[in-house]
Amino acid sequence: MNPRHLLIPLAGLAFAQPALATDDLQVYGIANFNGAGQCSSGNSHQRHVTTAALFASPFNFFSAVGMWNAVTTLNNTNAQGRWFSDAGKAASCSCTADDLNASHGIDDADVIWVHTHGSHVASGGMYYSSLSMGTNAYACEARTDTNIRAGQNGGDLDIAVIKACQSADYDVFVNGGYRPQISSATGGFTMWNGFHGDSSCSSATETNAFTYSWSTFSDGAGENWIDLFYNDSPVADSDDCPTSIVMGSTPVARLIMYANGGWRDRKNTGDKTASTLFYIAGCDPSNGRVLPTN
Amino acid sequence: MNRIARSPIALAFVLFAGCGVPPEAELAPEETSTRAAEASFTFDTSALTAIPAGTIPDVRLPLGAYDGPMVQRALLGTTESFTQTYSVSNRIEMSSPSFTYSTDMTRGMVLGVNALPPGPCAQGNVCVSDEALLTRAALSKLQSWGVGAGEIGEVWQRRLYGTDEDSGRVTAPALAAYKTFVNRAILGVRVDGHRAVVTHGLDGAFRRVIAKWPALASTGHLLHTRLTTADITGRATTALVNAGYSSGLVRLSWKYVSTENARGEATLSLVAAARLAPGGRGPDEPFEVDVDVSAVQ
Repeated sequence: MNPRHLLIPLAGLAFAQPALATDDLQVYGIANFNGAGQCSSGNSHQRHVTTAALFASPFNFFSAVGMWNAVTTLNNTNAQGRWFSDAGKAASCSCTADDLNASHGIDDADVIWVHTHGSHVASGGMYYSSLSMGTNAYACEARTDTNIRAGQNGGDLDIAVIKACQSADYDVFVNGGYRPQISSATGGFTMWNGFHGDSSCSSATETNAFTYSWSTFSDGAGENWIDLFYNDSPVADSDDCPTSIVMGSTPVARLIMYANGGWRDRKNTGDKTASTLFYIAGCDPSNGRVLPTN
Repeated sequence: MNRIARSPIALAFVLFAGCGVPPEAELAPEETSTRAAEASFTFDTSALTAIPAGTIPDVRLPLGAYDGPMVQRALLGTTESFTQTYSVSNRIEMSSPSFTYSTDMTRGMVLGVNALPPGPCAQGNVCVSDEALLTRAALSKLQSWGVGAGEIGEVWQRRLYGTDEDSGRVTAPALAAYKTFVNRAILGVRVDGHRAVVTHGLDGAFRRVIAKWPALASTGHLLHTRLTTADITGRATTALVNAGYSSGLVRLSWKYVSTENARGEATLSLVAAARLAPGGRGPDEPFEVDVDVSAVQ
């Protein structure tokens, strides 16, 4: 990956548009685990911080020319369970839920990128994905059932991009583990992108994070995610299966957001009373079933 | 001790995709050697086949492919007139009555989208009777745009599906689109992060294309190595130890990593990708490090 991508020149602007007051990006690269004060979840992977920077880079450029408002990087200990927790779900958090925290809470942003370790449960009457946090000072897990809910009570979050294993799982989806848990009917939270099953972590992840971010300012918030991050591995049960969950009132509205939504073109999909999970059929990851055609 | 190969332990230079990311653990050389000697990786080297002699193909995507007329006519297949929506540095966004697209020549990136509503499926739930036609159409489009046959690696023809849930009711998965994934490869070795994806609608009509496919520089590519498999497994061991691992199944394969200059021309360098399978004492996720193989022309 060419480090030049982190240094985007400021020259060559045409058609500057006013900064939009509510265009905020927050990126969370959670790379450090198992150390003092850290959460226990797999090995530390510094690449999680790298992808956060690469995803943020295009937004920094658009911000510099007045076409995006704020870009905030919240890595490791700045990715805290309380900032992923909604006050309405506070009973499950050994902390003060504060997802509306200005500049830190996920529901203070319009778009978030999270790269961390993840897991899911889809059995025994429990259906959720869990994201590992950057410090054990608060909740170590941010779960879709007991912590995360966005887009209500003044929350701003529209699009969440989650680079974590098992973060948007098919079986969790069909058992109501996402939209009914993480959104509110009248809120603006529209898109949750993640992975069914495990997702690999390689240098291609870095390239794809930048390509996805740079490509998606006007179109393809869901479709670019799938096109760029899908991988058919030569090893059995090792595919990368990106999925896009779009929430809204009608299938057409959700499809339009999936195909034609962008960071600066976040579609109004109506009340979040239903959702669609988009995926590549036949994709076969580890820790996930083969994605179905019927 | 590792199975399959044992080689003199060398302090490998771990590449994290050229982004200057330091190794996970800054171990002293002596500690690295000790840990490497104690490591118990099992290496699958079956994918480290001999790379053919040769260099980049003569016919390959040129920088000019990112000029407006080439994108509009050859890639999107339209003669409509376009107007510029905005230009930010090298990222240009254009629109016509039926299409929108953005390009960045300096990064070899293009996204083109048909803005009109998709047509209906004409034949029930199996909308296109011969998906091989879509594959050929996608490849023809890319080659018209300038992609050379010698740059094309694995091609995957896939189906996009959607499943709906509504107040606890879940619908059966429904076909949403057809996708042709065209992965870039040179001399049979994949190029990391370079691909084009062409999408057709249920009526078989072209819907969109996204590509990360920078033009290749004419010189400077390091496409081969003189290292032996034993050398590479030794370096991979050190790289994985430095990343904090000590055991597990590791699959080694070739790949080219790309570095682009200010004009957008990419040079390729060979590395060995060491992918550690998850589970056991391995990582929570399939984790891959790039291993320096002292690439040569």
